[in-house]
Amino acid sequence: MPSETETVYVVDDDVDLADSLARLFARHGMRSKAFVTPSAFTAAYQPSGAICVVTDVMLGAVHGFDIARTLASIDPAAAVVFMTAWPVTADAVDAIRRHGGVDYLEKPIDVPRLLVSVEEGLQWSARRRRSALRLGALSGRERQVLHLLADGKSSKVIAAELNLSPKTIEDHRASIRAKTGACSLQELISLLR
Amino acid sequence: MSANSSAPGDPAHVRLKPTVIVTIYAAAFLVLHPLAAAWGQLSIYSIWYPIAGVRFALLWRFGPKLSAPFAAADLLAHLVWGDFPARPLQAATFAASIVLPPLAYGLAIATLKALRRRAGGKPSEDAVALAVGMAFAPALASISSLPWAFFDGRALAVTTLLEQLGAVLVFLVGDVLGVLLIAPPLLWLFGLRDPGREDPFQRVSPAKLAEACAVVALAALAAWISQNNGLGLRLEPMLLATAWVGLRLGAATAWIVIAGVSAYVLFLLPANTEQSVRIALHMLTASLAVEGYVVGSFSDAHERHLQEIARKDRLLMHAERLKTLRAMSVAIIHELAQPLSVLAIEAKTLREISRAPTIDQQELKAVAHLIERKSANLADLARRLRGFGERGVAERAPIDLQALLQDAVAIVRPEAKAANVTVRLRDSSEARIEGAAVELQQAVVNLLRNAVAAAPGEEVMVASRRNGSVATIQIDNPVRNSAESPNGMGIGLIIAKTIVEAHGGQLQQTEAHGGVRYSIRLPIHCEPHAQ
Repeated sequence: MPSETETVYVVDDDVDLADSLARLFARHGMRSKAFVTPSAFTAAYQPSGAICVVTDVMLGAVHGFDIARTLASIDPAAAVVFMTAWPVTADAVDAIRRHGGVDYLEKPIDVPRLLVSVEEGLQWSARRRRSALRLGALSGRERQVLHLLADGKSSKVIAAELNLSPKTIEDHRASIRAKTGACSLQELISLLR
Repeated sequence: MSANSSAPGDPAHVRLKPTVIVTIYAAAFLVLHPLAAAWGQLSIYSIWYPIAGVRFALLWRFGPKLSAPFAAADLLAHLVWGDFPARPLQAATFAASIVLPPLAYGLAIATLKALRRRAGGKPSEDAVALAVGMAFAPALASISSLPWAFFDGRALAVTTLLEQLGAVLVFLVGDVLGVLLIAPPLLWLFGLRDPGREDPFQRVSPAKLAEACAVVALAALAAWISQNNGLGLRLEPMLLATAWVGLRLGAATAWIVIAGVSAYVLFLLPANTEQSVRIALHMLTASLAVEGYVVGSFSDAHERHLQEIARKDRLLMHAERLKTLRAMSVAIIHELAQPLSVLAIEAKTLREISRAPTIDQQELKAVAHLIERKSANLADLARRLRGFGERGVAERAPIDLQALLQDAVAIVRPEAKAANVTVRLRDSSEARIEGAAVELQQAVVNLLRNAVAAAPGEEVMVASRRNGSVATIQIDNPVRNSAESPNGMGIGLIIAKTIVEAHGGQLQQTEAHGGVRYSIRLPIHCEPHAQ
């Protein structure tokens, strides 16, 4: 969708590096803002459009993972790319698996890889934003049914689990398809990711 | 034994075959032994016996084993001169009295060297052993002559036991003076081409020389006053002066005083001086010579020990600096990665700018400026860390206190940043101090790291003040609890204290405003500007 803006938030306690990164992203056609402290970042954050946050892992007393955790509660549709000057394998795994990071980059920064990762993050964020929009119209019950479908359960099993009739479940499924515009079960499930 | 089997530069066997050494000794004996007769008016023994010095020097330098050929050479010389008595018993006694002193010298030197080897002491103590040997060898030789003196055919002139003992004493005085006046310059000559030879006058500075001259002049004045007051020529003040010179300037300078006093006593005494007075003066001169030389050598050894300790201290300090660098490496790598990232990004910017149809001059200028600033920062950090990792030098140089503090703060900054500590350097006063810059820097770095480790998330303040001729560096740590030393910072504190005290300063720890203040007080070297 052309109307969607792409914003990259940069958080690094080194002013020069943060500014440099912000200018790099700006030159590549993204809106970009640099922050030196996590608090300034959260204060200025606006959850709209495709968003990728590029943050250092060690920001003085605050850990980059804390930012990711805060961000997940504010805006689940934002992608995160971590940077660190002191890479640790355990951190790298956590960054991706537990904090949903797109990438975990070592400093000095490999610029082409950073650009690829940020691009990937923005695409993911845009997808998430659209999905959220489409899923937003669903009722609570419909969302529940969708999650159970995503778990690979049939209408019959879901009906038994929710103590409803299979017919009601089929109605919900039709309603979900209508609201999200998804044609297949596969497409439906992909909206949840 | 072939001469070329010894390694070049082996000091103990400098290209001289034993036969050559013995020949040199024999020639010296032929000249110097009759010469000694000039100082032999009173007794069968001379009151100055210079060949003893040649003998001692050669045996000390080339090994005591040569004492046997030396004794043979002595015997041969006397045979040539035809001194031998006709009767066999007397001839044997005479031969024994000739042969035994050189052998006693050999024995004395061999014993001393064996003792030195067993003690396993430092080479610097060899000089002390040499000084002691210069008294010990004549003493042993004179004792060895004791029994034979009674059988000596020439002893007809001497009648009583006491007079015999007196003659042995003259022997001792003559030999001591001979050894102490001749052996040191000879040994110095032998050692001229030794590798690693030390300048014997290295402790002499103009100020110390003036001091020594004053002391000797004072002693000479005291001697002159006593002589003109009917007390006769008194050498006691000179005895003290020689000890003083030895203590302050070392054995070589003491030897010059000894040589001067000896020259006066040996050559310049008034002709009408009584024999007993003459002998008394010789005894005192011999005592003065032994005392001055032993004290001087001991003082030299002490000085060398101090130098050795200072050298080892420098090595230790260097090792501790390297350890500090290693401990800080994580933080430093982080500090390097930041500007390198900026440089990588800006390089990409430049590439993109170059591809653009129109070049934005303003942007180009900004990028160039940023690159310059970042690379200058990196170069600064590299220079400071390299300087910190270098070996210390013995030479002291004037240091700009402000630059020293800036460097120290810059070295600690990466680690402080990792611990979220701000190190603030308050505008410091201009002052020059003298010393080893890298070591003083180490002292400040150790204290700063201590403060940073004790107060995560806080602020550490560094300031310097000038108070007359004293510069004070203050490091304020907001948290009192610096007892916890997670990475052995206790040692860092001890090292800081050692360094500061070696620079004539003090390190104090006081409690102020709920925190800890470390104050380094250092004497100011000179004015930064003529004011």
